[in-house]
Formats: sequence, structure tokens, C-alpha cells
Amino acid sequence: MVWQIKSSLKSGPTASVDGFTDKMREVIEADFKNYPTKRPVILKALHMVQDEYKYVSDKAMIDIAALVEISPAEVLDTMSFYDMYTREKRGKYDIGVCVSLSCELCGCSKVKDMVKEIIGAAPGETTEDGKYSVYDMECIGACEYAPAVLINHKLFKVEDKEQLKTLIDNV
Amino acid sequence: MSFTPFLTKMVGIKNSRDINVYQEHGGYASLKKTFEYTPDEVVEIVKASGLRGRGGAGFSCGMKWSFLPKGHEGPIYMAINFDESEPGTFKDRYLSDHDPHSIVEGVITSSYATKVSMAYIFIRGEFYAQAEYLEAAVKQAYEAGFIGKNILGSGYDLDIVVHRGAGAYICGEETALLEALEGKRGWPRLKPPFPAIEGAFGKPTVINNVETVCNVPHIINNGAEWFAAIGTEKSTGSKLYGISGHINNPGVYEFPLGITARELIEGVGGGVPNGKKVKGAIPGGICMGILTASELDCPLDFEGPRENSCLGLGTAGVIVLDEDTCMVKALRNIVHFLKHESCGQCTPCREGSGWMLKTLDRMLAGNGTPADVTKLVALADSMGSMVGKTICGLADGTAWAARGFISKFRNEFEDMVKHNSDLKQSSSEVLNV
Repeated sequence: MVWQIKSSLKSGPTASVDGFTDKMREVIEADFKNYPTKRPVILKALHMVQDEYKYVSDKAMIDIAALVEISPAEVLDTMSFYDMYTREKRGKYDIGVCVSLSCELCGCSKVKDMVKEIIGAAPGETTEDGKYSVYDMECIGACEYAPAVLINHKLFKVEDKEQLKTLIDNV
Repeated sequence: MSFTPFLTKMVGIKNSRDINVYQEHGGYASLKKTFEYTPDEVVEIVKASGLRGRGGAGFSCGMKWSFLPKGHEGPIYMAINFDESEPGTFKDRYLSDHDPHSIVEGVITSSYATKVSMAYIFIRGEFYAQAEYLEAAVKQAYEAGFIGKNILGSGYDLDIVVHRGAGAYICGEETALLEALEGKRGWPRLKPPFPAIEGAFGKPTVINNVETVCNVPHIINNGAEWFAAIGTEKSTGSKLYGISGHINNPGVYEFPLGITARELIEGVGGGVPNGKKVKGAIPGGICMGILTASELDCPLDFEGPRENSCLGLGTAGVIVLDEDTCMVKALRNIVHFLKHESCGQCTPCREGSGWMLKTLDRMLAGNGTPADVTKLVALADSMGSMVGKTICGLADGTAWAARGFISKFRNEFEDMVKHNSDLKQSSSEVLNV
């Protein structure tokens, strides 16, 4: 229901916080020359917002919409489709555990148990101090590292609990 | 005939991602040679080589290029499919870890052949490091004059842009990729019109997989006959085979097309851990179906798996399942993946995959009935564009995976439900399929 979303984006709790900064604007404007239309840059713009604030606020979407000359609802339409953009705030560091076939065959559920023992959070949860978020991921393209994890943008093979703890601590 | 790997020749070399090291090993030598031909001549060379797409469909690359409209005013775009999200597939990521310049060189030569002025490398968002490697390689290539205006004095202009995705398997489908390239949600488009006529931003667009274009410089350097002499008659050249799952040496290995699953598993694969036997091996990508232990002598070229009731070779990312694997659980993993990644546009895919998942979960919880097994097969038959019902092939993939697993391992599915009779009330009765 697009009409409902349009009105709630501008009146929601995040309608005036965590927006698109001038620094971000500078970077994105440099990319306009790469495409015949403006809209393609919103994927990168949303990545910048997600990386900075760990979520995408309503204000960020309203700002991006203005920059790219489309409606905020259209930005929400794009943003809501992709797994890497979230409306809920995530922890400072992401711990993604792959649950696809090769990783399940190589024991991804044990990895999730180990993560829970190490930091006290299960997939879908964030630690109390807001440092880590854990979540299930579909195939992350690292099947030779099965069971594989994506910790703070890096791919690793999980060998044992000690090694996993070291990876998490040294994030 | 002895085979020297060429796609993976930079693996293991120090600083292999640096352009100077790449050039010391013959990198970018194909550019000068390519520009000596006309673009149409390059298309003919690639056609003659027999190069087939390495992204999963195995369509003739040269033929796909010749679908572009003749005498088109421009621009023509290229989109390199680096969305690699198929479970069991990691060859393109491996290539970019060790040799991103080979991808750039492949893009330049392929773009010249197809008269492309702007090439986008669409890389999945989760490949953070790999996007950085590619961007660094593109930057180095610009500085060396291999990309940009009037490359090496040839009169050919090309720009290359790395465009990051944001987490959606369906963006590996070529039209969904175009949507994501345009900054929209990754909903596949109805074809026709085909991308070669109306692709990115409404213009003719060539879409090729990473590994496919990486072959082109080698074909230019060594000739179409050289390439066609590798592999089998209909599946020429070499392939980056991935192997993972229950295997001692998971990884990417380059072999001429046609190596059998058994040779791969027992050779470089190092066999199954703990001395166990193979129960099944998925040839390349979870939608393809599964080879049983007695079908392992299937040659892994584009034809072989089809003769063993698989959809095809796919990406040649082999997944090995050992004798203790529960095939119902394995299918559940596959259906869960496909249900999550369904874009949701088409009812048979969106609803069918969800129903299949619920049915499998009910079976695994001990509440399934024999009718559920029949319903799973019926569901598979009602999904997919083979029956003309969906915009893209994801539903076909789900259907084929289900059919393959149930037909070859039916006893496991039936064993799981035989303790419940059909009279037990279950929501599968409501299906009315």
C-alpha cells in the first residue's frame, strides 16, 4: 500500500535522524556520470547509509529520493527488496553464518551454537552492548570454506570454537 | 593430450592482483591482437571456438553476441554477471581473489567484439573484498591506458564501472540483474524483448558471466582451433570446477570439460572424509538435480548430466553428499533457499516453494503422511515456466530439484512418513492440486 507508506515515511520516528550527509552526497554525485539516469546510484547510496548507521532511516530515504529525483516510496521499494539493507538497527559488526547446502553439510548449525556460546546471541539477535549482530545468510560464495562465515566484511572458514572466538574478538 | 590450465595460471603467484605482475605473465597482450581484427571478426572467432556460457545455461557465446542488432546507432551496454550466489558455486569469487585483471582483460576484448561503449561489472554486495580488488584493477587498467578513450591507439573507447548489488540471488537472473543495475528491485522481466534488443536503460545489452569473458583473451591469443581442441566436441575449452560439501579438498580446479564426477571427487577432491561413500553428487548448482552413486561416471560437460536426468551442468559447482546424509533434509535446505530468494512476482513460484517448504518441514517433524510425498511431486509439476507459468526459471529450478531428489531417493521420503497413514488430517489435503 504505497499511499500508506508515503505518509508514514515522513512522519515516522526516523524521519529526521541519520540522514544522507554532505560527505556522502559528494561521493554519490561523482558517480552520476557513470549512468544515463540518476537512479542506479541509489544502491551505493543505501550501502553508504547502512554502513554508517547500521540501518536505513526514513530521513536517509527521503534525502536519497531528493538527490536522485524520485519519490521516497520508490527508494523504499528498492531498499525493502534487498537483504543487505535493514530498517532495524544492527550491531557494529555483522556475523553472517551461511546456512546453504555445502555449509549445512559441513556443520553450520554447530557454528551457530558456537557463536551463541561465545557472544550470547543467536541468528536474528544483537548483543546487548550493540557490538555484534548475528544472522543466517544464504550462500555467500565461499563453499570451499564450509562452514563459512562473513565477519565484518571478511570471509572465513570455521575450524573450531577457539579459532572462531579469535576471529570474533579480533574483528 | 596434456592440458595446461590457463584460466587459473596466476593462482599462487606473489602479488598476482598487481597489473605489473599480470603483464609480466602475458597479461593484456591480447588487446593489441584483438584490435587487429574487426569486431565482427572477433565474434566469428569466438563462435568458431565453441565457447559456451559459463554462468549456468551453456548457451553459445558467439551466437548470443550475434543477436545484437546490426548497425545500431549506440550505445550498446555490457553487463558482466558477477552475482555468483548459487550454492556450491564460488569460481568467480576465486578468480577475482587471485586474478581480477583477467576479468578486466576479458571485459575489454568482449566489449570490443560487441561494440560496447560502457561495461558494468555487476558484483554481489556481499563480495566486499572482491569489489575492492576489481575496482583497484579497473583503476590500474585505466592508468595504463587499457580502458578509456582510444585504447592503444585503436580508436576504440570503453568505460568500465563496478556496480555493487545488495543481497539477492535473483539478481543473477539476467533481466533481474538489469533491474538492479538500474537501481530498482530485482524483479525479472518478461522476455521478449530480450536484453540484446532492449536491455539496460532500454538499450541493446550483452550479458555474460565472469568466467565466460575470461576465456576470450586466451582464444584471441591462441586461436579458435586451439580452444576447440580442448574438452569435448560440443563442450569446448576448460572449466573452473568447484567441489565442496563432504569432500576432503574443497576448492576450485581447472580441467578440460568432460572430466567425470568420479574423477573429480576421487582425484583432486581427495575423496569423502572419514572413508565414507558418496550417496549423491549435485553436478553444478542446486537446481540441476542430483547424480546417484552409480551415476558418478557421468562426464561433467554440458551434455553429460542431461543424460542422467539432471537439467544440465549448471555452474559445475559440484556438491558431494555422503552416505549418512538425509536426502529429505538436503532437499529442505535447497527449497528453503529458493523460497527465500523467490522475488515473489509469480504465484506458482512464491506459493509453490512456500508450500513445498511447509510440507518438508512437516515431514521432518514426523507429521508427514504418504500423501505428502505425492503432493510434493504434484507441486513440482505445477510450478515453472516449462509449463509456461512464470517469468523466470527459478520455479523450474525448484521443481527440478524436488523431482530429482524424490525420484532418485524416494525410499527416504517414504520412510519418513510411513508411520502416519493418509487418514491423518494434514493441511496437504487442502492443496487440491
